[in-house]
Amino acid sequence: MTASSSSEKEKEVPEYMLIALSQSEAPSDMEITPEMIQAVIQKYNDWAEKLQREGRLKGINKLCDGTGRVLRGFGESQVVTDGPYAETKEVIGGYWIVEAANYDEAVALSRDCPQLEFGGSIEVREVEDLSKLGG
Amino acid sequence: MDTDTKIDGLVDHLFRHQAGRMVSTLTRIFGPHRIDLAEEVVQDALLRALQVWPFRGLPENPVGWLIEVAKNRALDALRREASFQSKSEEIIRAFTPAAQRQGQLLDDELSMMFMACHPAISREGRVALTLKTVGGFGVSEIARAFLAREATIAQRLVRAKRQIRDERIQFELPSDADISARMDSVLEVIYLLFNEGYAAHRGENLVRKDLCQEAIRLCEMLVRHSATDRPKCHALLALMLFQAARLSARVGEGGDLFLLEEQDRALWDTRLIHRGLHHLDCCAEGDEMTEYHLQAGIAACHVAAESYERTDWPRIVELYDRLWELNPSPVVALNRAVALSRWRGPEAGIAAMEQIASHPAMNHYYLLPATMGELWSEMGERGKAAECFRQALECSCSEPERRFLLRKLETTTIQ
Repeated sequence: MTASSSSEKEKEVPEYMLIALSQSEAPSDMEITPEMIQAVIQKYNDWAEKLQREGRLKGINKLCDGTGRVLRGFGESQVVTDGPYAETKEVIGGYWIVEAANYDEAVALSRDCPQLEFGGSIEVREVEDLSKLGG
Repeated sequence: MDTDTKIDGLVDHLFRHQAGRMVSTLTRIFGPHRIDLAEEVVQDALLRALQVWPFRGLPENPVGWLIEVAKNRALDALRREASFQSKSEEIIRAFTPAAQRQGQLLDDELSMMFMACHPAISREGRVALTLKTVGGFGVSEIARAFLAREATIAQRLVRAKRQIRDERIQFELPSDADISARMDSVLEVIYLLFNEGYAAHRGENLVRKDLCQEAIRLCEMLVRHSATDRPKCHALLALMLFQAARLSARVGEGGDLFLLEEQDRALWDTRLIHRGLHHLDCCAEGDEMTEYHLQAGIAACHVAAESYERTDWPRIVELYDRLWELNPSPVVALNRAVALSRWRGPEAGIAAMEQIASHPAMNHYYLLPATMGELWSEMGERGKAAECFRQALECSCSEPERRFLLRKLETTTIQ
């Protein structure tokens, strides 16, 4: 899957990346029951299915949990640390790429994402269409 | 993810049921003293699905996915142990989709049920452990279903697991010689689950409705296996199906209770009634007559009746007489008196009720004065009826039951 999948289409609908952010640590010792797990998954599924029915879902990816490296500095002062966890409380769990006319529409699509219901946040970023700039 | 794949929803309670199956199989392999480890491994696998599925969609075969992940987690859990070699072979054998479809799976679930319902464990412990392990319920859900504190349920589970270790209760189906007695303990737990869900069935508390469904599911497992397929299991199953068929007609929109007499029979679930009738046939085999048989027979009379008036009351009175022989409880006598009043008239009913009114168990039992109030008002004795409804309101009862009694009191006192 590639981010810019507009090759076959000429109408150039902008694409937005919805980045799913969650707390890096489990918020509490609340019990997570099998029934709750199923309900959450079902919600994500219903949400993505709706986007897909509308033909808006262009890509989806999950990043590996508990791994990652962060590089800082250059040359001799360069430091590589494990994961983004030490520095930030929120980690990226994955992302969706959707088609939307503008930011308002992209935000509207994100509003009922279960990510928000379960304490996470979503960063919405437009994917820049570099083909336009080049031509 | 292939965004062209059709995404289907998940089967209801898939995670709960799959958790129960995997915990059962792992408990067999790990040993009864390590239920905790089995539960941990399964929980890990389910949490993995929670992390992955939102970002990949549902796998084509969700159960197969969960089994595969649980298998790997189980192997990891045992890797450092001396018995790893033999156990890992067992795990790999058990955790394939094909093996999960075969009889061994049902063996595991039933063995777990018999272990959790062992008579050496307290009744409360049996109920909690069965729901937690075979049912896949969480502690918080069990607490909500039984209106208990989570800490209380957690404690019962710890105690039950300790009893399994201390008493060396085995993970196995009881032998032919033992199975009938051990079965009684299992059926008791199942019926308790059902009644708990049935008694306070209210829309706002879905988990209690789940109890009824779960009780039926567990009983269906028993009749599916040749070692546990006994007439009394069919009897209990028939009874629960008949009662479940009337569930939605029993409670109104606002949570008000409707008596059998007031229920819209068109709302009864005919599919459940047919299933119940099938199991009623099956329970007639053999010569054991249990309370479940008689109660199922009574429930069948009700669901077979076209209307309240055209119910076969003489037959019901006869069944209550036989039930009284097995269980001479005042509650049975009260129900018999109601049936008698429908057959022979309200005077006969009141006379029968007066005989049990002094029984200590009937003290503060709202149903006795409530029913007598009904009968007095049928006879036009409004003063006596109102007196009975007031007495009933002094007993403890649920909120819908209270509203029901107030409604009755109002109609008897309106001029």
